[in-house]
Amino acid sequence: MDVLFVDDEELILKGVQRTIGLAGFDWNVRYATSGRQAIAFCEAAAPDIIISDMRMPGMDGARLLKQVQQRWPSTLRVILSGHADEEMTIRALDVAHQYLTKPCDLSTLETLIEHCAEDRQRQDDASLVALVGQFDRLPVAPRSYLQLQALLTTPGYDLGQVTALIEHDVALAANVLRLANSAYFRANAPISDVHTAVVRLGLSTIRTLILICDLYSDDAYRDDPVLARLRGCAIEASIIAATLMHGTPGRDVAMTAALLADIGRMLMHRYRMSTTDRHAEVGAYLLSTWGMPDSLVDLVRQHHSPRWVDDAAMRELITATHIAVCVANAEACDSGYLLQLGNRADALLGLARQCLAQTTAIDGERDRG
Amino acid sequence: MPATFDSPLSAAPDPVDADDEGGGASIDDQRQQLLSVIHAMVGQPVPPPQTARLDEAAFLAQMLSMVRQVQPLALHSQKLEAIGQLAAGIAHEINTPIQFISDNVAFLKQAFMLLDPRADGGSTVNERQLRYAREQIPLAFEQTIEGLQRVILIVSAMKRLSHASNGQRDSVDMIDIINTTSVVSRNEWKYVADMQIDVTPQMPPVPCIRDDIYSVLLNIIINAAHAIASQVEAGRYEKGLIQIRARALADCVRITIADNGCGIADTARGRVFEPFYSTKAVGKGTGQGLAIAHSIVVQKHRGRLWFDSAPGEGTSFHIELPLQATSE
Repeated sequence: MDVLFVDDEELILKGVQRTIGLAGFDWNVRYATSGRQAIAFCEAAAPDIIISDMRMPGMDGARLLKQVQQRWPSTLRVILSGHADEEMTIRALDVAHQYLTKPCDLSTLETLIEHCAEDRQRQDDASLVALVGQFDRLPVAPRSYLQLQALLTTPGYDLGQVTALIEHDVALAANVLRLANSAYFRANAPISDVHTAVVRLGLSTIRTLILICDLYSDDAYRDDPVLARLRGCAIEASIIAATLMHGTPGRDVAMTAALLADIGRMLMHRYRMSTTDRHAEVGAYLLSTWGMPDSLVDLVRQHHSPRWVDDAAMRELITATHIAVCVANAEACDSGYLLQLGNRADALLGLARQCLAQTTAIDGERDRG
Repeated sequence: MPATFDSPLSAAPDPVDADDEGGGASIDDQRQQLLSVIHAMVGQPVPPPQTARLDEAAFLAQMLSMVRQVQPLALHSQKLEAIGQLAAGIAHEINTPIQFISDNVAFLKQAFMLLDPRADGGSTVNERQLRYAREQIPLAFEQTIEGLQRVILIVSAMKRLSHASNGQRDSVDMIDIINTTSVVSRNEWKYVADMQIDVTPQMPPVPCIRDDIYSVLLNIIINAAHAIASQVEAGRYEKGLIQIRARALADCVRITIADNGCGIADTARGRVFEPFYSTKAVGKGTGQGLAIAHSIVVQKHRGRLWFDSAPGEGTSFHIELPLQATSE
């Protein structure tokens, strides 16, 4: 692993260097004391991961990572900032995959770097890594943006309504989850469902996020019909997943996984990539670079070609996500997997199709009315 | 005038026809302006007077009483705002040494375990690690101590800053005031500027209200940082310079804060000390900082506050505080 640390405070770099040096990791680590020096290092050899301070004289962290995004998109970009500032966290989301706050111990960095190494190994296709590096966010649908904005200015709205609206837009949901999993907001366990994320972030942060999302309003793909159809299917998949997991503790996670499952497909369309057979991998890789919890990443990776796992709770989640996404997209389920499900398969498929028919009917009524 | 002079509310109403002297519209305009100024001070919309057409005296009386009510509040909230702004920067200033102190202490712990003959880690330790640990341990201690000294410096400066003088005049060491101000404001300027402090070693104590002088200096320094930041953004240079000089003159102490920032435009020059006048972006300044500084130096301390500025080259603010206290 080729790692580049950037901080204008030399003693911070020395501290990091010392802890890493003693542990003797198999990493090639470089240290830059300014954005300009970091760019020079990247020009010499692009690192696998860049971990930068946010506020620095001259070129600050956001501007540095913006350049890295454009010139070396396959580098994983991380902000490590002492400024526990909400606005800055949100600003960093534009250019950084992940956001950590100082003080940050070696084990956190170790996990991050090892995680990045694993992702790299999994993604053998270097060109795909480079492409995914360019993706930052999906354009948010104008309708959900406007609805949410309207809701937030209505007196007496509650968190439940906000959550419901966010769950109706894949890109919004992805952004909300990303923010909730940044070190600034994350408490202990990573968050893998929209509802918990909204509660954790609070409404004022959601409001700020909405403003940032609006920056994407000029994206030419906002009203793209293919994206709109995929968004619609994602919402249906999420409703089906909730129905299949009704009354179980995994319901919220399954809902979120089904909603985000096709994020790879959407991005590949958005960036005009023709091969979509690896979309599940692309989506999982992207969510992983955004620091999403492993369970969610795994569900997205497996949703297209599910593997039978021994862990019963995880198996239920995989099953619900797979069936929900297939039924919502009117695609065939994995026949081998259905065989392993045995006689439960028909019941689950039936329930899923019934749920889809109901939501389509309701949507039809609303559109006519 | 009878005794009703300072209580216009009880003055006999003398209705003014708005159409008189053709000044109706402009008086309404002025009323509107007054309302918006009060609005800015209170921080929330002020309902216009209930009566559709109050006479001038009654209107002014009402406004005056509102202003009197909110004035201490407005000054207080302005002060809190400045402290809040500083607090975020101070947290960052403390966070930085904490980061490398924890890294170094974590390293020292690891190194100790490797070197401790009693610890049962002998099988995993190798020659390289031992050499590295021995070589780095003195440096780790040194830098940990340096970090702790930095934290101590900031914390003690905060302590001095928060040591309220309760509006009481005191004999104050200006060197101390300048150093404290530069430490607590460091995060506001260090990304855009360097700071040079040049003080005559023998400075007579100055009779003044400590809190007030802190807030004057902080305001001017933060303005200097903003003026420099705009030059940095415009690409004039990467880092500017703030110079603070203090000199003892015959009957006063003069402090000069000079920056090489964007300077003050000719058109703004006459309004710099006017309350609510601001050239900064909305949310960046309330336009009260220099007005308050002016009232503190000139009215409360019978001193002088002025500036010279060249647009595009920089601004110097000069503060003179008399060595003999005279009451307000």
